[in-house]
Amino acid sequence: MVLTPIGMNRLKSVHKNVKFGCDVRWPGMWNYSNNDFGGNERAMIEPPVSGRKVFLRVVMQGDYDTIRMVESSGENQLLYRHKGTTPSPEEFVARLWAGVLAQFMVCEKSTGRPVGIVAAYGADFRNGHAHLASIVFPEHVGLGWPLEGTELFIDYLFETFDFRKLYGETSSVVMRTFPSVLSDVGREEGRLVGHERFKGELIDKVILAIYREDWANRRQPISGPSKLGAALRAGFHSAQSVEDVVGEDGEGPSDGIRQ
Amino acid sequence: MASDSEILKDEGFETFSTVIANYFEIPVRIVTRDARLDDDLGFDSIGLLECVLMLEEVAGHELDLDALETVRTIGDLFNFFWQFASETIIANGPHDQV
Repeated sequence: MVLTPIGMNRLKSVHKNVKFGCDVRWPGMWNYSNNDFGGNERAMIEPPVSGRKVFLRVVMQGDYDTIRMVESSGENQLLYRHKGTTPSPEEFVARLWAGVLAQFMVCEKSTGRPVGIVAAYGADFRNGHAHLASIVFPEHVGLGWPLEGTELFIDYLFETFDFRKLYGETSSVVMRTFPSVLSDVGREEGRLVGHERFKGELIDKVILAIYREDWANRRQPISGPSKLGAALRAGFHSAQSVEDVVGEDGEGPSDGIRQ
Repeated sequence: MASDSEILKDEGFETFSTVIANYFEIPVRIVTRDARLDDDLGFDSIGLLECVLMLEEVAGHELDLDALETVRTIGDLFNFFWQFASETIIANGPHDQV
């Protein structure tokens, strides 16, 4: 959609109190939109993809500093896009968009603050594949829920484009914490032994592939019912009768165990 | 002397830890209350995400992210679960949607 001056003014005039269909506001977006919309003007746009705890929105110019800091923090500086180099600001932006098909900020729904980035690049439409990259911001690593952004993005890619599979490139170092992200759905299709230098050692580059059909049959889609919950229901009902647990009056455990 | 509710909760933990061990394919002997989900049990982000999905399904509503960040051990996870279990998983049949 092209925003004409009239359209833009209308957007500005309704921004404050309007909630769009997805019921998501973008407080985090406001911090990044000043350069794009001028002065203190703010804009609200419906995010293209929204899930339980996160939504995806386009990357804005105001995000660049945040992305650069994240990509250069800790081991990301060595393992992620720039592989130890520190490109100039101009080169950084050029690399950020080089060969990119789609790229989004992953944002927490309740606050709008960015918690990660997802990108697809190197799309080969003739052969039906593309490369996938994602990064969770350091303060959110290990929490689990930000990974919904990656799931939403993979859904988006398979629904929007006719890809057979998506490649994810990682390293033997990252695989230490990465395996189950792809263990159910990802197939290792390539390994370049001793490909990269990392802290004085040579580490493997690993290429994983997510096939469309594997993705559709993955163990636990976030949008689906919890399989762990189902296992617990089955476990409790095979272990003891309902009366044993909740008592004959059916009142359930006493208040003492409820916080 | 332990109250009935404490005994019930202890028994509930036994079932809970067994299911967790089977589901994540880890030895049940290491699924103790003090076991840290990440360091001791090797849960990665996907494992933690599965726990969040389970808790929210059991609770019947979305949980506050700040509260979820306090879940660090199996004991924390169980306590969260047990708050809602009597009203959902335990009180309903195994095939009921919660």
